[in-house]
Amino acid sequence: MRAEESFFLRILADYAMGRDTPSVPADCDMETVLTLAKKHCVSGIVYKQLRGLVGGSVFKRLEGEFAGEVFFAQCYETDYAELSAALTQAGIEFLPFKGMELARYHPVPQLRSKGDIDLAIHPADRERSDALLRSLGYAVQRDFDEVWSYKRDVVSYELHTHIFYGELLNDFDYRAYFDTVWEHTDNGHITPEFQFVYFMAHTARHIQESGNGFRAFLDMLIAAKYAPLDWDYVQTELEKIRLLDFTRVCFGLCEYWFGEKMPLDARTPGESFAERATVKVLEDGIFGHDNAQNEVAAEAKSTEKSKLPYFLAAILSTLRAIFPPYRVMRCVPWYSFLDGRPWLLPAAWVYRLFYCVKNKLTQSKRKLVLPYLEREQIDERRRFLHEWGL
Amino acid sequence: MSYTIQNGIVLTSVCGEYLLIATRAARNICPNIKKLNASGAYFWSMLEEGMDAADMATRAAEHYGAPRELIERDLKVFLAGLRQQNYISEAGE
Repeated sequence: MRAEESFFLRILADYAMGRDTPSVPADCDMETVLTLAKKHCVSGIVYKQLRGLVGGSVFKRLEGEFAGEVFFAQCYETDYAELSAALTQAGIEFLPFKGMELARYHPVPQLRSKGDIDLAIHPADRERSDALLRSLGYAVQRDFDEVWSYKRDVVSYELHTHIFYGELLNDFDYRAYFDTVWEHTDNGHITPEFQFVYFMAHTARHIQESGNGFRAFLDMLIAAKYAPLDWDYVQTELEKIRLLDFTRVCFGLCEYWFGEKMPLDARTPGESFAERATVKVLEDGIFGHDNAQNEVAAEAKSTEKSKLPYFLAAILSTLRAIFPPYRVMRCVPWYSFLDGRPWLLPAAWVYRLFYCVKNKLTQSKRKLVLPYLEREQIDERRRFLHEWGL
Repeated sequence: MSYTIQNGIVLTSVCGEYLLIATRAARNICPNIKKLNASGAYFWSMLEEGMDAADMATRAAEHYGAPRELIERDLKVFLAGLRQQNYISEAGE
């Protein structure tokens, strides 16, 4: 790890543990630290830790990022107070989850950045909650499938009728497991244990599909330190949903990165895996969308999941890329007209084919030949996922 | 002189720093963020209580053990800045 990367992780660990960061190492390029902070959405945290140690333009930039994060946090708090009161008054049960709940355990909750607020609702309340949000002036961003999103001013919400989507590499039915969320509540919140188990499953999904930055691992460290968790229960549930190995690997990496002891017999990573995981998480930024390493992620997941010999899996993947199934197509906003009309699927395929040829030929060709040209990378990615315990 | 705080303005304190935040409709007429020092936050808390300028000056002079004239001068500058940026308006305006 470079000096800037080590220092960046030190700052995060100090924040999590409520310590002051004593000094800025002499060989540290602050420009790189600022870039990392922004990329991992932790600039406010870095400001808190370094405000007495840096000056000039570095201080000014961090101060601006800090103020921005406090602004958004306040806008969310004000808006959520209004919306939650309105939902309660309308008799619509809801449960906050993901970022907003993880922020509760942070030493400074306002500095845990978030892009939206996620609320779970009952499927039977979908239409009523939609009508309520529209009447309160929220603009609809997406109103089909299982997650509907809304925006008012700078504040966004996602209302979910299920809290887990998609699949992990194993055959466990995560969606059904997490649909029991309503049985794991305490005073309007998901219990800390169920929330943590969900967080690990959600993190696993991100790591399989693209990636996760250091914010997620900081959340992990903070939850492990401050959330009132019954670890025996957490361990039993993680084992049940086949994510105990993954959690132990993540906890081992947290120990490696942050130098803090983690629970559940954290698995100390080998030097090679630790280095590769560090490079990937550093590159991934918040969700890994800009990391070129993740180009093969979907192929690696589908070939691994299919359990077929590689070339059969690759052919299947190509066919799926040309003719995506109904359940995938109906979730794409511009093919939402398919929802409830599966017989229109062939027409959508033809439209999509022409659209791709006309507007993104190079990108589409690359996607189709990827399994054949990049087998080595795909196999490497599959091995890497196994090392993560997935 | 009494003042009315613009609807949607919130004073928040994070890591020992004070920030006025314009939320909802206030964002259209005020700067989104204004940093205050500790005295500014103290003055603001009195505005939230609905105190007029004279009472604010009296209480602040007692609080800081400073001459009332000095407090009045600082308070005047502070309130003028807030008015100019639409965080507050004169009551009845």
